[in-house]
Amino acid sequence: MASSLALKRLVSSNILPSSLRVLRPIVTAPSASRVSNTNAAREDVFDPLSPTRSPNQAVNIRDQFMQNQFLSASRGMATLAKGEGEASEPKNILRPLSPHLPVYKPQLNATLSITNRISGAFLTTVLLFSYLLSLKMGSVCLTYSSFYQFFFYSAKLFLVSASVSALALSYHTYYGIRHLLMDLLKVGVPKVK
Amino acid sequence: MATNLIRRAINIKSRVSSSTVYTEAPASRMVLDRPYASEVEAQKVEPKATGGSNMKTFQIYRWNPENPSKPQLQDFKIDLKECGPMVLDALIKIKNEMDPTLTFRRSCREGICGSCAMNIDGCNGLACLTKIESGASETTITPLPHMFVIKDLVVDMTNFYNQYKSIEPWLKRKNPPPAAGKEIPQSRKDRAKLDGMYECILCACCSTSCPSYWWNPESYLGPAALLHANRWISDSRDEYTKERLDAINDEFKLYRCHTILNCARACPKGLNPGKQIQHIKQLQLTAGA
Repeated sequence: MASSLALKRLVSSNILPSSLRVLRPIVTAPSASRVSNTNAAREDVFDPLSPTRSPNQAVNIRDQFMQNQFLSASRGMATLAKGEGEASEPKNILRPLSPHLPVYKPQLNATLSITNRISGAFLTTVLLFSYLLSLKMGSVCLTYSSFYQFFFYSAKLFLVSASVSALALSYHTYYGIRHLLMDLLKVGVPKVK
Repeated sequence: MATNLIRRAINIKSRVSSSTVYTEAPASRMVLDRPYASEVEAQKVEPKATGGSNMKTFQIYRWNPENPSKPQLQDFKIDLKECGPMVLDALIKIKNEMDPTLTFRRSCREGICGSCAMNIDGCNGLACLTKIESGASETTITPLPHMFVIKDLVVDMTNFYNQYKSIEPWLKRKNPPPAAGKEIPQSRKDRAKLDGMYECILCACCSTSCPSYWWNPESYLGPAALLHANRWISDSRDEYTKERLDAINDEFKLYRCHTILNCARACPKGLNPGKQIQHIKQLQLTAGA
């Protein structure tokens, strides 16, 4: 008993760093799959090279580490530790992402916020597009007739886009003012349930 | 069992003593014109909804890593009259009676541990605190949004916990306490500054309701971690305030928050992480970092 303990102490102090160095490639190999977030985290917790641990503790930690490796490995790789796949390489199962946009109930605050972003994007597009249109159209259309035709057919579009962009601009401005008020004066912060 | 025997004996006796119109039938044969109900009829349980049952359908997200295929929504019908009021009661009833493979996390059943956080009818919340809507509409239960699913309603929370760890949620001091060996004194006003932050149970309802956290889960810290960061920044006993502010003064860690404020709506304990994040942003301005 004592001799085996002494042997373990010897073995652990020598082999401990190298065994973990051996384990680490196995751990990070399936890092292409999203499983090994857990493995990476566990490495941070167990620092085997810190000299403050006694060798016995280090052996225990090493054993736990190895067990945990298999446990966490079997979470992403189907039934590896259950004795089925002894020789086969572990199946890397990619976990699905839980539904977010299709499922989440639209809230008032979130809707206002995303509308602000959409209106901002729309206004930017309108700004740039009108610059392109008015200043660059001359150099694109090579004849006067095509220039005239373009403006004839898109005349109605100007009115529509002007009104829509007026709407977007006003909404964007109001949201900006609300944001400023909420940040500086704490006015109108939505109540929590 | 004894009462059944007695009942059977009484049946036989009464039939024998009654008129001879009835043919002699053994106790086990079901004859409809018998005056007393046999024990077989008495033991029959009506499975369908009779007067006085309130059936509700639950659509629950299922995915099994042992047979990986597309995740499905499975329907379960529950009689609300035989079930507790909370969604967690319904889940436990389904697991006990209908499908033991339904997997979900739960522990305290009273809203203090934060294990049973999931998305119920589109809103994040704790299953043990969310009442079942008494109507005929279906309730949809899915796991916390935009997290990797381990099985059914259990998600991988490693990233969330690592982000919490990364803000160093413990007291850090440069000087020893003013009265050596005793606790660091704190006035009531300073202690009141921590109200609304220390109650956080790390259920992850807020972080997983934030669309900004959905699109940047690894770089944005999320409302829960930032709430705790503010808790340590506002703690008067902690002396590393400037370093804490500098650590999160990052384009991604803090400023992915666009005050969408889904977090405040989702918190089952009634906290407001959005307000705390605004507080941090103001401190960043005044601290001149």
